[in-house]
Amino acid sequence: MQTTKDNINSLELTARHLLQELKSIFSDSGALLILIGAMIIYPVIYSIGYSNEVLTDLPVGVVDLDQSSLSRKYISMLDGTSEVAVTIEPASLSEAEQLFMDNKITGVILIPQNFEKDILKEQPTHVAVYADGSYFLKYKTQYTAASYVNAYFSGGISIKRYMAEGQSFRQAEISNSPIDAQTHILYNPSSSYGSFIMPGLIILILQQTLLIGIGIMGGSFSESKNTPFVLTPDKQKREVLPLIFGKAGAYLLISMMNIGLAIVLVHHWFSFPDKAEMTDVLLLLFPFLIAVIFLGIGLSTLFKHRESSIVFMMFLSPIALFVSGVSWPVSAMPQWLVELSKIFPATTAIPAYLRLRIMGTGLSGIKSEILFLYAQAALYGALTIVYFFFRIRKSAAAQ
Amino acid sequence: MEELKKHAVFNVIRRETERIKQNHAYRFLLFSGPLIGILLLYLIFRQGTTRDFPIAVVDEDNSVLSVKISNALDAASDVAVSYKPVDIFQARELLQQAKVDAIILLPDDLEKSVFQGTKASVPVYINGTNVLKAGIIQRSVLTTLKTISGGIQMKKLILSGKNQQQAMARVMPVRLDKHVLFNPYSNYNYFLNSALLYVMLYLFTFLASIYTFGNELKRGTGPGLLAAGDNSVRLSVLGKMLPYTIIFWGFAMFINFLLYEVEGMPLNGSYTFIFIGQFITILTYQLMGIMLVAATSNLRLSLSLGGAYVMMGITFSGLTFPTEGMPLLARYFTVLFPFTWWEKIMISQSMRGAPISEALPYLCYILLFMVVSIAFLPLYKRCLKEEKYWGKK
Repeated sequence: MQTTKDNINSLELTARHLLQELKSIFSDSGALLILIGAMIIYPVIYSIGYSNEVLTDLPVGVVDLDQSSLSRKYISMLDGTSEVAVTIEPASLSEAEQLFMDNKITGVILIPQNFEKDILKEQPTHVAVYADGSYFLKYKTQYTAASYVNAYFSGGISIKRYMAEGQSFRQAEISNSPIDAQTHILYNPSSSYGSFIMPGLIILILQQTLLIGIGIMGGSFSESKNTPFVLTPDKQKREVLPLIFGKAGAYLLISMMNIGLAIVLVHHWFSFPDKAEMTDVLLLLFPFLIAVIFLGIGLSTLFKHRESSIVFMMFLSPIALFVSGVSWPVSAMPQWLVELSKIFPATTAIPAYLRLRIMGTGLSGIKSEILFLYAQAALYGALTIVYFFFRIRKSAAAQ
Repeated sequence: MEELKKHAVFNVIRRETERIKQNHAYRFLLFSGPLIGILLLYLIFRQGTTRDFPIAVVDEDNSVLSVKISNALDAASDVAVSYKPVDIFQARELLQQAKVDAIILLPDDLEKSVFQGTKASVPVYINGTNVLKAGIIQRSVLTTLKTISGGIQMKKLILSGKNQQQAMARVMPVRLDKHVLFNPYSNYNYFLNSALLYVMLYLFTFLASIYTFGNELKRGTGPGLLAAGDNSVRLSVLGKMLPYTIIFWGFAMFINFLLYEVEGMPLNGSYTFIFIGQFITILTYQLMGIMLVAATSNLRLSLSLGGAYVMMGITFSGLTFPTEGMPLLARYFTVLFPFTWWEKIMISQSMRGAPISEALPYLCYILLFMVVSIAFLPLYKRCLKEEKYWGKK
């Protein structure tokens, strides 16, 4: 005689597991913090940190050994850039060094003696720029500003000389630069740091919080949790699919909420570039999410204690960030590491997401990535299901 | 009396060693975890040969000059001409599929315009999605084009009767001499690598501390710990911390070896100061772990918070984006992480070789975190003793 408990149909079982999982998530502060709290806190706090997007008015010191009208002009051009501000004019290089060591200035520019005289005599001269290489972005910003100023200043001098030889301004311009390179930075014209790092980072946070969160909620065979099965042991085979799909459903629901927050609202608040249709974004994120969720459920079965998932997964976050190529170009990494990192769905999803959302390539540009993610989801799902069957048979054999 | 106290600490150390032997999570936190983390990061940022970024050249001119430009671009450092699409539309497609990172268009009549002295523009389109990558490509492409342009200008000046020096002074009246201080190769690796290896070290130090001190509460083994420690929370904590301090200090030495010996990172300041700084930072993160456990009396919540805290520290140390560029609110936020101060010590002593007096305040800020954490010891003792704090997750 079957009990009513065993008569329950698969759909009802799935719904029951889904609700059960949601209930346990909402009654666990650690899991709530990771699964929902982190998705609010991280993107907002990070975006605030990066919200100024570009460095402006870095304080630099100019040592002007020439004190001429041309050197004055050079300094005022430097000060006029948005990147640096000439805050002080030390009398000597050693004085400048002291100011630098005291963190009063981030770099030094030295204009030599006879700067003006050499220029008027049509002799080559030079300006030295000392930039702080220990902070990479500061170095880059200061050096870029100095290069621009120097190019404009030099260009001006050359053009004047061509004009003195009788050329028109237009002709002089062409003579001074026979090939005129015109740079267009596409998709992120202001080269802003926030727009560059945040969209990819958000996808990575989505993955890491899901993996850790699912682990915290406990593998179904972990010691610190009661059996998740509703049916009696002999009927449990029938319950594997409803259990796994129920759980996956719960995390998919939570992820949808997180997407609304991080992918829609945070993007909107900080005006990150957005050239994609929302439906296209969702078409990419759906296989990504199910791949991550199945991977998470699979991994969670490996942890004996629930908190182990934090211990084992947290340290992978910065590594997963770098292998996805969001900040440091992937091409500099060993190839085997890049291939290995494809275990994480984000490694595939992030570049595709950036192409879709920042570059606006449309779905056709990311077809292969979407297919890869579906295959990955299917593989992880299948492995997890097989593992569950295996465990059930093992425990049945033990009894 | 002295003898007895010494004994208590050893008791606790013995007890801790047993615990470490029994649970594989401890072994992961203490040995394989940091090792894997450090080695993976090291491999990612190893100063290997950076492969060139692929670019596309659309050569509409097919002249001697355009071929020369194309070859020069291919030979330039950091970029390689990997595609030569027939038109800009094909090139655009390559860019969108991320097969190339930039397009250089050499327009029809380029050579003719250049030699007739009419305007000759070369448009360069760079994918700006990755700011770092775009910067490298831009620098490489523009330098190459400028060199060729300068060469043509020079030739014309000499044809018009100027001597070499006069021509040079016209092409480049003011030369910019670049001096990159403290990082002569302007190598981003030194910078990120040095910092991230330490992130890994402190992350594991912090998590291991939370895990072992939190487990006493989770399993309600606090009274046993206090008994072994002669009922003194200070002795118990000291004995429990020590094995971890020693092991993580060992990992700090391993990182130093990788950075200074293998990678040849500059060490311009005081190694003694760096050494002391590492030791104090490790101790601080250990004690902060106890503070977190005592404050929440919840192992799992502490681990979640702890992990999140260390991860956030990366952003707010100014490592990726300098703190000077952050809004005021975020700048205040940066002081809340010992890692921010550690990073300043590292830059001051390893790269800049600044006087120790410059770095000393940073060390004192780290000590402040330690003092605050120690103030939580009595609370931790209460958690150990009283049953109502036990067993929470």
